[in-house]
Amino acid sequence: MVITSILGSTQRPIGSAEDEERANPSPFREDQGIQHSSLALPASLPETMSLATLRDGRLKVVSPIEVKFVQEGKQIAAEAAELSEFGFGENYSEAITDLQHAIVELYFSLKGEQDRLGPDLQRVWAILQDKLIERVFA
Amino acid sequence: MTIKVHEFDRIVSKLDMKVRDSGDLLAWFEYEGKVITRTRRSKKRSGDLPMSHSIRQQLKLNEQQLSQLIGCTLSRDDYTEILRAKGLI
Repeated sequence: MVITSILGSTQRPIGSAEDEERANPSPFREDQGIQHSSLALPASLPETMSLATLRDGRLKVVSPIEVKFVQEGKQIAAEAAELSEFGFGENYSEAITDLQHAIVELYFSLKGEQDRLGPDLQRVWAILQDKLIERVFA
Repeated sequence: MTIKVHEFDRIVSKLDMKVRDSGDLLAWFEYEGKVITRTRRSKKRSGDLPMSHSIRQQLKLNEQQLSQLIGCTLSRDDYTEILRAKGLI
């Protein structure tokens, strides 16, 4: 079915939801890049993921943060290598939550010191600015 | 290599790192007015810290250097030279 708008231009045919997703992939899906584990982690749980939210109203993720999971004893660690930041917990959820808090804390810490950062932290700050934007509340 | 809570605190003290309490204990190393490295630990009172290798990486040290830093054979000046050799200062 082809829809013609009031202005006369032709819009693309309405396809399946899968076609729509393929044509306009959301950058904010948290399940992007999931790979099944080949380590001691349970086979049904991911080894990596793309983090698309920090669960903090002040910051919005515009470019997903790659996270790798590692088992440390009885705990799970979530590591964002490009930010040299990590979180850990008793389970995946706790590890991700801890990492999210750490990234938020890192962002605002570096923001406060951005005029006097050394080269490595300048690199991290640049990555954070690329991946996150601050929400402006009127 | 694991880092114990008291060893982390010893590192912070030896390197004269600035600290802030924000749920976790945040620590950062400053040199000539610039923030060079930063790390953090959970606020547990004792025992091994999780993600010790990540803490080590945040401090930009290899295992031997970290061991020396904990074992008091590597000074703040030595740490500064390590960072300078890495181009971080």
